[in-house]
Amino acid sequence: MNLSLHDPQFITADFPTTLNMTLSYGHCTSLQISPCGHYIASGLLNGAVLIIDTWSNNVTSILQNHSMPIVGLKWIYYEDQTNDQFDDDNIVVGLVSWSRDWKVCLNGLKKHTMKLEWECTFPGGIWNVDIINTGRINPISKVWQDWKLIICKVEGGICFVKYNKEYLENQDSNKCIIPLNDNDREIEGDEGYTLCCCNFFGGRYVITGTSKGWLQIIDVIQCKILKCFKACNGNIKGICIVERGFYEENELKFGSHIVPISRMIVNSSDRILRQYDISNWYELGDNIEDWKFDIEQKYQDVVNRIQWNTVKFSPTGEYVCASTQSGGGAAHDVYVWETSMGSLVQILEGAHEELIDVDWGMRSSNGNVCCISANGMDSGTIYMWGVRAPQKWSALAPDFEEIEQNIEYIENEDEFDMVGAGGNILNEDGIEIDKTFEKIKIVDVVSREDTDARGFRFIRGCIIDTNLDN
Amino acid sequence: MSSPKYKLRYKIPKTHSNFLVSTVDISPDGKLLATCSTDKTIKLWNLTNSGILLKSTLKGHNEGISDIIFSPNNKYIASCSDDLTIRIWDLKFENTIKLLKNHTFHVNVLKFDNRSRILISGSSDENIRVWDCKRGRSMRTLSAHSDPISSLDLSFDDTIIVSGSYDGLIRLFDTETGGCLKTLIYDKEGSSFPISNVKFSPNSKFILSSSLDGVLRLWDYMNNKVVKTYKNLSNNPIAEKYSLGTNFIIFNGESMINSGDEFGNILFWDIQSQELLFSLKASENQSPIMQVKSYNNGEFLVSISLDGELNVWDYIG
Repeated sequence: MNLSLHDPQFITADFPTTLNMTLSYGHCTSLQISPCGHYIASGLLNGAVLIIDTWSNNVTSILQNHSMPIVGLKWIYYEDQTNDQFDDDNIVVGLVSWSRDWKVCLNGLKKHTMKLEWECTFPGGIWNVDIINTGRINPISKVWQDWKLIICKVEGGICFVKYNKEYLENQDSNKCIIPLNDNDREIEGDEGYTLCCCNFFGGRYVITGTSKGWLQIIDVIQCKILKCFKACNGNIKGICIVERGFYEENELKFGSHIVPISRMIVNSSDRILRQYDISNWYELGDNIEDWKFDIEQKYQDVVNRIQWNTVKFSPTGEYVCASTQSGGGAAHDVYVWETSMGSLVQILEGAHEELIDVDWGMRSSNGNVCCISANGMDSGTIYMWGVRAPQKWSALAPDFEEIEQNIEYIENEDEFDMVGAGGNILNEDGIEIDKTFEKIKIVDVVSREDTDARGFRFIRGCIIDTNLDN
Repeated sequence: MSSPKYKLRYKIPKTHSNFLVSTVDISPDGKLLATCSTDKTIKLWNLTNSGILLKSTLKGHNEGISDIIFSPNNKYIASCSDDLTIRIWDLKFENTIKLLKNHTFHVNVLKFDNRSRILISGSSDENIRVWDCKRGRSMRTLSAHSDPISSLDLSFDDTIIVSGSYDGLIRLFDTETGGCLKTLIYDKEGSSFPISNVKFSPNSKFILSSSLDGVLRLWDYMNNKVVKTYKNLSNNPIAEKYSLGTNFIIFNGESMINSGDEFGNILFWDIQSQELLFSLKASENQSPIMQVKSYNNGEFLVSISLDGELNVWDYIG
């Protein structure tokens, strides 16, 4: 609500510019901002996961499921837009974490507290995890059902993990695991190890990247690799996709209304970020054979030959940011590019150490309209760049106006009249206040806007309780 | 006037014996009521099917208590007092878990955010403070008023604070940055009157203000306009002295606002026609109705008079 009262020029700021917060709660190794912007999940070197409140910068809760450094974190969020009731039943909030102790843990929010739903140890370790289906809360049993994850294991390739009732009964975590149908591809073959994964098409497909530069498209329902594409010669370290939302009526309404073009960016160890325009995939639908990999942009630092640690799109996909690996004279910065022209628009400075994980917040947090967070490698500090609202002195009185230059003012004859010709009091437009007008005008005090001043859909977000006692 | 849509269910004539009572609050689960008084205590009441039973009395403040508020997570109650402090009490163990000090004069009003992590207070030292509940420290001070703060409210998404002050101004602040976003003043009929109460509409697009000229006004704050004015019968003032609470009643398709007056009545208006629909007699001795709180937008109401008469009203349609 506050955005509509800010300067329009300020709220349209697309990317952060200044470092305005650093947080040191333990040694952060991995982080992600929650979809509602109220919390940051920070995975620590000792295996703890902190949920940090971005308004008060307090730790609201600590999840102790791991014993080794956290490698990655992902928030899960789903809300039933058709149901207005603000309760736990129609909002799914979860957090998946994986660590060096080979363990993947899934936490779900119940009664405003994070509770462990599922955990499993994968011998050899885990490269990457993504969410395929957020699932729903069963309104009767209050159990979080039908969630589904994809896991890229170090040994044995890809597998899916699905909610299974039997797991709750006998705690056998293997009951939830579904292997990929194509068994011969799992062992390191021509395409190498699968290092990273990213879901798209609302969780219908997953794209994975391998150690030999291949991109593979996996059908989630058939559990099968459908298409392979050689993107580069290096290791594919990360994939990020933004999806455009479309036709509401006849299903397919994933993605976002504010994304102009569906895009994918691939981070590779050959020091090049490759950005693909994937809108043709959505037009062609299930004809995967015809899907094309059209390179839209390539980003690289030709002078310093920097490798990129993490790459993330902005919420609209109009910008992309990446953290730089140190060595070769590279500074410890986050680079921000504009995606349609491919021009570098901002270098976020201020961290005096190499930055590992980066996240671009979907919503404003900490008083910033947009927010990029990154963690430092040496100190484990979390750095947050944002855009702060300037103080408007015109807000301090109703008739103040901020102008660019002096305006010569000519006063009208009846300008400062308090009472009009009809004997009624005048309003600020010089029109006599008609008391009957107030009666006729219908005001809607109940219905809320669907989107905020930037066009972002309002989400109810989650409430994670802060315990005041400790 | 039409027939009343609320019926008296329970009544307690003297909640704090002969001491004056400032306000009442309903817990988020609707099972508990709290009253606070100049006798320096807070009383918690169980609202049961057989009546209102005193649960406990919280003692700790050294002066009279002006406002109390339950936290949305139903775990805490916060109170502010003329002893310049704010206390956060644990409802389970009924002890003070946080003592917030920094105001330099009487603290008048409190508000929790939806996530129960931030508390906002308004004081006669002319400041609004935003408190970090966990650390028990003031995060920022909003000093933009030049007279005591009488009332505060938060928008449904907690991003805007609206404040009313005796300096006659209604100000809107950004909760996250503390910056002033807008100022509203009603000075059409000469000078402005002190603002005694402010409340956001359920969609937070309008603000209902009470001022000590005895009138309620509904502001379209985006356009700096008063869109509705609500008055008492035969030009009687609604309030000239006290800060009386107001509500939007939208339960069961209703579209009303209500406020207590200084003669022991609760007044109900139609939001659109501004017509006074009916009134309820909530005090035997014409004591001002300090607060009316509604549960679930009007499913039931709880009113308190300055003399301490506690009434529970059921919606009967």
